[in-house]
Amino acid sequence: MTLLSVENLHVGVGGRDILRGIDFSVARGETLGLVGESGSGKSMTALALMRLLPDAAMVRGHVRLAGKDLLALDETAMCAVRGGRIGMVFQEPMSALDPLMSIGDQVAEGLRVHLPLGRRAARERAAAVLARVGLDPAQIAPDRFPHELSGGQRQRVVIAMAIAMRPDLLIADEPTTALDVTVQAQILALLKEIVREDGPGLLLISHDLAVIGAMADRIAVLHRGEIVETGRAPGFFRRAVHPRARALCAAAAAMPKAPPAGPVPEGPPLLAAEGLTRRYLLARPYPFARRPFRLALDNVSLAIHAGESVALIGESGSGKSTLARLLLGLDRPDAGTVTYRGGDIACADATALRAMRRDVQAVFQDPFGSLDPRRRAGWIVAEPLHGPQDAGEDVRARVAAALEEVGLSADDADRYPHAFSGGQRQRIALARALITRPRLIVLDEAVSSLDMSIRAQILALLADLRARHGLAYLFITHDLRVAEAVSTRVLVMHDGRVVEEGASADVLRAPRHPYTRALLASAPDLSALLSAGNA
Amino acid sequence: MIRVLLRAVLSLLLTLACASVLVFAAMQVLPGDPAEVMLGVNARPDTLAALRAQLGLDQPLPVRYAAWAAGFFSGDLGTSNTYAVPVMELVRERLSVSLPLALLALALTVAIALPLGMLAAARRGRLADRGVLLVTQLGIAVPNFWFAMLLVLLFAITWRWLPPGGFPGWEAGVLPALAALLLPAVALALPQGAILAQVMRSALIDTLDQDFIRTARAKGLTRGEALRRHALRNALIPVLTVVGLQFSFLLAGTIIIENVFFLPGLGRLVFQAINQRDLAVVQSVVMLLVASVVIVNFLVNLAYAIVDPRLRGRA
Repeated sequence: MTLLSVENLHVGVGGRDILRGIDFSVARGETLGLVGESGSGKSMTALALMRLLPDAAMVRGHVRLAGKDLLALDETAMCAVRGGRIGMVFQEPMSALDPLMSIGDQVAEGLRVHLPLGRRAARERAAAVLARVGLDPAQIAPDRFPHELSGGQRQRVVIAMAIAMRPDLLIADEPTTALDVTVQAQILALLKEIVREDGPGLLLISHDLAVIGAMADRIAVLHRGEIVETGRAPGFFRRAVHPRARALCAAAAAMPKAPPAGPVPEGPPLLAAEGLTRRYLLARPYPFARRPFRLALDNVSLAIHAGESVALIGESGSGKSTLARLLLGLDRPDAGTVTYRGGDIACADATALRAMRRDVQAVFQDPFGSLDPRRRAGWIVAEPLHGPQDAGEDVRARVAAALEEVGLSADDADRYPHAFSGGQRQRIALARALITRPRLIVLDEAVSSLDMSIRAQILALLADLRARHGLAYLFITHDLRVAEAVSTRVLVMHDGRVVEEGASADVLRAPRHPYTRALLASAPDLSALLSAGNA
Repeated sequence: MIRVLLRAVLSLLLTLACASVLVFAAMQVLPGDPAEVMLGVNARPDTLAALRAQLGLDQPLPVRYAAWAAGFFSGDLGTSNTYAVPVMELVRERLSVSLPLALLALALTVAIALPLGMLAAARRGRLADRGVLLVTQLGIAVPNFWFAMLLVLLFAITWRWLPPGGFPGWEAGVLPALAALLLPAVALALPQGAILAQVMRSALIDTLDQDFIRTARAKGLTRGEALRRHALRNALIPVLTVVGLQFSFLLAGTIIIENVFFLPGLGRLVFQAINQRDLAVVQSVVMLLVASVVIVNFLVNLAYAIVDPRLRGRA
């Protein structure tokens, strides 16, 4: 039985069409996966259903929940629907909760909006709902505040708020995108359990086809405000007809072929770390007390040889980025050494350090934050060229060459970062890294925030550059598929330690350490979509 | 929480000690010898020496500092050179005007700012918001003594509702005293309220854009409920900071308004004492003001911890 039916929904903001007449439906107990790239209108769809779009938005069409058109309701009636009949789970568990209110009160508040409950009764029911989503009051007391919880626990609180009133429809907008892969698996399992037991319809929005594939009964592909393909999940990939849907599936599945394992590199390594330890001092508990510390890195060693591609895998807080900062000479270890071509960078003078920085470049995760918004692309790319050896060079020509190398044009040098898309910005960051003709590039989650199709392009570009220039990469990532595709050797980090190391194929196919096994087991895979299906 | 409190008290005391050294040192490097000022340039050297001994100016610096600091913290602020009365008495008299005035002005400031800021933030970009912005811009731009004169013209001279100036003293009764403070408090509160309203507005707008407001709306709260229950409290930190600064200003920075209304306040006392080189008064009153600023900051910091649970673990 159809629970939600969306007919010919149009949304326009400031004269721009965000959604152009989309139709879809969700039945009770069914999970519809709405998939699309960034900017395709996924989140706008969710907000339009909740009638939470900005005031300037123009909405047309019909959104029927159990036959009643939500777009025709007045604001009071709509407030009763929000949280009462439709629950919503958001992407960012860090910011979706009020930091000043205890988690129990935040759940209770939602109950009291809809039910004539006293403070105490609402608290009791809130505790029960929290227990239901796996936050046992005995362990995580409802009077705790959001900042005392981990990301996964916070997302459970958000889910508790969404399901407190046992809504008919649950909307989850990228519910696991901000979470680690092992936590993602737990949250997805929880959502599945809720759908099975309470029987609401679930509209699951994600850019990640693997997540959708693991959860959805049916899939709808959104592209530039239009639904271009809808179908049953098993075998969806194989049956897809629309070119955009096919492209999306292909991009998700496409990974550059893993580089050949090759012989174990010999000779001295390019960059090596020996017994690195880094402690972060915390605030004193009382005056003059000894400062407690958190061990971010505990005796980590690694070596990267010329032309080698090494992947560093780990979840948030495992120490990956701390290690990257130490290797780049941006921070000093409390113990241990980093050597570049045999010389300790802690003892290097300014000239030697500068030479090392030319040889070892970095590309970071956020393509929006890592480029100065007030400088032109050409200036940004040319910035690493400041040494004496660059004095006679034609900087413009080098910038043009670097931009062309990453698939941009020489004319792009005169444009500002805001004029580029996320993928193009990441290309600019890559051009900036390439312009000094480095030997090693440290890529810290460099493709994590990119769409599937863009990610596939950047990975292919990286493989191509490596083949042409004999570059070495240190690829820091939480994504096992990316790690497998780009590296010959992987290191798995957990709690500041390297727990497993070896050839990529060996580690990822036959992990020995329990943590690596857990990591691999939690990663959603595309097989459901790829399978033949019996449509 | 107790640990946070202990730390805060400790740092408060340390700050006060450092401030007292600085205030004392600053007074010592000022040119001009109070004994010379009191006796004039033609005084005989032996009279001068006698007066210096009487004032304790012949003692070494650390001894004088210790004597002053010990006196200060036990409530003995020394004797005024010009009025020949204990400074404590002078200060108490002036504070009985300045403190109620500052509190009244601060209460009015918050009473102006809270509704205006909330209204503007709730109707961001619409007519009400623009109106609030215009009015508060004016309030900030127009000097408060001009407001003061306008208020006197209107309420004291034309309508004769309130006295135009002077202070009858609290002995004359609470109502006449408050009536005398009302116009100056309004004159002080108008620009301060305008500033606070703008701070309130922008802090609220920032928090209204946060994800948790959307979450609150998704739970079924109306716009107004989300604003009152979630945005207001989250916007409070910058507002508290400004309120703390405003109180410190209102306590002693009100000399112009005191002059307009002929109020015997703390600001005028400091001004006169500086002109007359009344070292004992200046030193003690400045120290008192420093102490009040530090204590207000301390209270504001405690208020942060009450508002924001994330600040309770550290301080």
